[in-house]
Amino acid sequence: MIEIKDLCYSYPKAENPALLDITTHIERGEFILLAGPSGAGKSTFLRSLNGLVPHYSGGSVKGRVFVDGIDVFDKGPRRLSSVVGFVFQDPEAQNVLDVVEDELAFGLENAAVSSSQMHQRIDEVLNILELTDMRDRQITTLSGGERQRLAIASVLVMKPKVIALDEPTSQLDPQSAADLLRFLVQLNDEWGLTVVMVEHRLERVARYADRILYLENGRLTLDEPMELGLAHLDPEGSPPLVRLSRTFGWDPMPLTTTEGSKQAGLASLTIHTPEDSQETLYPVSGDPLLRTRDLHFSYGNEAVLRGVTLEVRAGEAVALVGKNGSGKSTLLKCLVGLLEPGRGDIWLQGESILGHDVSDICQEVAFLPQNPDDLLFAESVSEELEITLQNHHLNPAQLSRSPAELLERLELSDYAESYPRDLSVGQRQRVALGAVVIPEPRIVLLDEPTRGLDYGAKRRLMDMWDQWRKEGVGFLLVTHDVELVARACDRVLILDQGVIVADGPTAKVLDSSTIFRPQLSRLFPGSGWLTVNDAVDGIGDRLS
Amino acid sequence: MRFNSRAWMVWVLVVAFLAMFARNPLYSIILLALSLLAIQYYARIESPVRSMFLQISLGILLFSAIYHALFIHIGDHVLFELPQWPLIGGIITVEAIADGFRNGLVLIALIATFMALNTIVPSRELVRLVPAAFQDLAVVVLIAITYVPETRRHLRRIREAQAIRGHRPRGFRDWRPLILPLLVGGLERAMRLSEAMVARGHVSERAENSRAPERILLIAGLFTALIGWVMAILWGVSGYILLSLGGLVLVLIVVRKGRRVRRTSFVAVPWTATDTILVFTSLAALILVIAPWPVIGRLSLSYVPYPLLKMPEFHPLVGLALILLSFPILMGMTTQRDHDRMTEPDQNATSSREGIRQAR
Amino acid sequence: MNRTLTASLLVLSGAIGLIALLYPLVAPALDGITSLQAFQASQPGTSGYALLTTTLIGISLLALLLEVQGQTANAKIIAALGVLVAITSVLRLVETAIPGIGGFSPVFVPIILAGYVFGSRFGFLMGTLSMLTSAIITAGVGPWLPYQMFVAGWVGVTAGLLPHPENARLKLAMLAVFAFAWGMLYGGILNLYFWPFVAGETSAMTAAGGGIGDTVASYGAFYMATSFVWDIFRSIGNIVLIIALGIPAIRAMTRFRDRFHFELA
Repeated sequence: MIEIKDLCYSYPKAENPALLDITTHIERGEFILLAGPSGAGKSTFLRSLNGLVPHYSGGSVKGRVFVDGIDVFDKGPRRLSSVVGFVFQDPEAQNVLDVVEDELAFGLENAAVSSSQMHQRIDEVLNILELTDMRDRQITTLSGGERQRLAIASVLVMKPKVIALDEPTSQLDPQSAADLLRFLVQLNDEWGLTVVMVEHRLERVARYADRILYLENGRLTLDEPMELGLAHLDPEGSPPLVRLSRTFGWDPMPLTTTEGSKQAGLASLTIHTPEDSQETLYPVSGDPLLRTRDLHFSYGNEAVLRGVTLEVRAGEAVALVGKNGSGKSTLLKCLVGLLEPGRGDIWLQGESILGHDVSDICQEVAFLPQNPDDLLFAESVSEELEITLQNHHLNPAQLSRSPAELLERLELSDYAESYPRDLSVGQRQRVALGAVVIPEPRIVLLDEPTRGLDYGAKRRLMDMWDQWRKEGVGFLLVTHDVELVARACDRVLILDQGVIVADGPTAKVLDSSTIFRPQLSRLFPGSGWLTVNDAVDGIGDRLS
Repeated sequence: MRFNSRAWMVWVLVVAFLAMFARNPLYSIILLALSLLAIQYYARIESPVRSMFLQISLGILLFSAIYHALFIHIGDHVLFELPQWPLIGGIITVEAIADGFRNGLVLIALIATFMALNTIVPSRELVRLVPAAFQDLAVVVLIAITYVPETRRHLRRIREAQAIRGHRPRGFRDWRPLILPLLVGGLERAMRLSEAMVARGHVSERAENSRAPERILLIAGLFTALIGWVMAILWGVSGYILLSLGGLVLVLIVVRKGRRVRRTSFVAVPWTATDTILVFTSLAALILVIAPWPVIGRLSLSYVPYPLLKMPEFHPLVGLALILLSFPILMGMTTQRDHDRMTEPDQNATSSREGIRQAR
Repeated sequence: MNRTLTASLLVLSGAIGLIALLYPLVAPALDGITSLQAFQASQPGTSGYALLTTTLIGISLLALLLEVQGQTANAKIIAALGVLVAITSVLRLVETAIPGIGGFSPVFVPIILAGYVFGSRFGFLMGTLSMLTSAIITAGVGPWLPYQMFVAGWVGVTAGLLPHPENARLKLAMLAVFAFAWGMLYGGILNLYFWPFVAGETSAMTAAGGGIGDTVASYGAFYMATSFVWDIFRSIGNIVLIIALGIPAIRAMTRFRDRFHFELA
């Protein structure tokens, strides 16, 4: 289906090539996982499949790409639009029109498909992706997951033979991501659609993919069937299950927890009940830094928070998890004063902050919103920090840590004079973090801090948090990333329909939850093991 | 009961044309009533103008009356006399004030007519009326309409994000932290959007463009129109013909360009017999009024209150034209009655799609 | 050839705008030669002028749009225009939480800056389509729309013709003066459109046989009464906004110019 020969590509004015000597062959109906660290050329590779590279981006290209026998570089994206369907990362920036049906028709209208055929194809696609009920809806009223499904639907109407997806689940919660994958698998199985998908979270996709292509610095360093590929992957970047099975040399490599349990069973690992008390990583001291009681909030008639009581102590990292729409972001906004709770109270170090100005609260309670780009507008990274200081009428001499030191901690010293928008996602995230923590707050609130980050960037972020926690800063983070929670948090709160339904040590809460459960907890239920290290230590103890 | 947007367009243009020309307050009032009734029966969209229409109308009447009173010093009924101040000095007459009201009425009728267009035809269909030759521009407007709500949300998010880093909006300089992320974020989004468009086969008419003869013709047409306009102002009818010729050249180019656009349209809005009647009655009304009749000559829509205020006359043929224009109102009245009998909740904008689907 | 055609179309259309808009001021003075009344007598009704001029401006606008559309269109420009027009419309609508001067709307600043950075053609489309879009979404379509589009389009065109001095201060000063001038001009021109409507035949009646001076004075009174204060606010608002945003916004947009492969016109 896809034939790539000696593909090299450089962006205009770039020093290093984005793709180098790539040769591979993809069969009809294969499900390909395209992985690799940020900036390795995954998106570029994907865009070379339909001619966006180089027809759209410019730059120089060598080698050949054939899709379904069509010379991509020769024919260009218009010809390829009916062969390769393309789904992008951001659900909010790929719809051209505002009503579901019209959006689906856009490509067909461009291709001058007749009206009757158009209706037939649209009906069919709506049916497959279970969007029929939403055909008249305004796209802005759809959830992120539904929007991504619509994005798939709107390329599917073109009857493509290949569908290329650029991190389609990175902005979705676990449930929506799983749904989306289910549809893709169905399309792959039943329609024989060839799928090429870029994804950071291998644990989500590994079990469905036939083959993994791994890119590093523009080179294809791995091109193997899934199980074999995983075995050769850098352990840091692989899913917990894979790392565990490699530690114990399980063969064949399990890709799902069910397979994993069998392996664990074969290895006759029986699990004893863990000791109840889990030690926190850092000394958690005395009175809570931040405390709320019976917090209520409603948007109009719709009650979003219905009596939330929580506390965060110095040096503690608390995770707040919950389904979409459970009120997590609303809660964070209430805590920093962006929203005024209808009832209840919030105390910061014993003092009520209700009715205080947002900018006053934020000197003590830093809040990093989901999209770091909303914060950044200055010409350089260091200017971003200065702007926050100016806003608060602080001068660097009043700080215990100078802006330069903060940048060093954020590993941004080399980029102090760079234009923030030119940096990678992970770096922009850290610049934004710097811009909110420069006034040296006691508490840091993070909303989905790992969205779109690769493993390396995530680990770096966690290491940074640890430094602050040692200094007594408390963290409250909202996230869907349970593996992150398992590795970095002491305590977990589960928010459901505006009420905290669970509050306790990470191992205990995650282990007894059905939805928010890391891979290893599913593998060893009741063990209290959440991370590979837990399991290796635990199993090691037992064997010795 | 719903008419095709194109049919409405014809009705609105005819009513607007008459409203612009009618100086006779009786005609203006009837045209105003027609527009308001059309809104009453067919409006589907909220309009800020509609909710303030009464205030706007009173304001216009008042302003126009005062303005006329101060600037026109003609008339037999003198109320009082201002000293000889520059510009506005002189007698203030009842005639001038009445003329001011009459003139205000013209403006109000015109505003009401377009209010009818704005409240009856949804914006999406308005954009669909754009000829194929302007496809690219129509897509721009569609994207803009699509992204307006998105942009508003984005602005709100940015405002929150800046607030939590201590930003307090005080003066103009504080626009910077809000507008710059909006601008840069918007342009980044535009990059991604254009990729998505290209990947789904969007192609602009670039390759089709720049046919030199067509462009020369365009300039010639525009020039003809300009000469026509000047002549129309100076000598009347002959200029009108030339101006129309210029317009015709443009229409021709638009049609030719449109033919070359290879695109199909998803939503085919049904055209029914009532739509044909609407267009027919509207055009008939127009012809009634502007045709040079054999014996009586062209109908006069004018009315001059000077020097002595008198009752405006009402010509039966103009009356006939106005009755023809009330066709959609009559249709609205009858269906409204049926509707009341059925006591069904009114359909909203989505049901037009339902209708379209059933019509297929 | 290509450039000559575009240039001549622009000049012609500009001339049309100028003649058509200034006509009401000159009309009574012309009465000595022919007569507006004579013309009006031959017409059904007396408001032939407004219709004629709306038609002419409409034709001229369509001609320009046809020309400019063909010259600049590609998916990137379409998307960029769409998003920028959306931003402009939002700025026009939104009750921004920033204190401005009463009723001030910042709609011209993005048009000027976009025209300045991306060139005259982009500026023209930005101006016309911003007006069109905001009219559509606020249900404000009317006979005045072609005028608004036409004038706003010219704001963008002229912004694209400005020089690009190295000195940031100079650049800012130039743009500020430019924005102020257009702020005043826009109000003046739009009023010239409305004036014959509101004033009816008063101009002809009071000034018949009089010189241009009388008409201008009469218009002046209308202008002072209706929108002078408004326009002053708008223009000062434009200046302040240009000073606050101009340089960083230009810098941000210039970064995108290369990525979008804009052709400067």
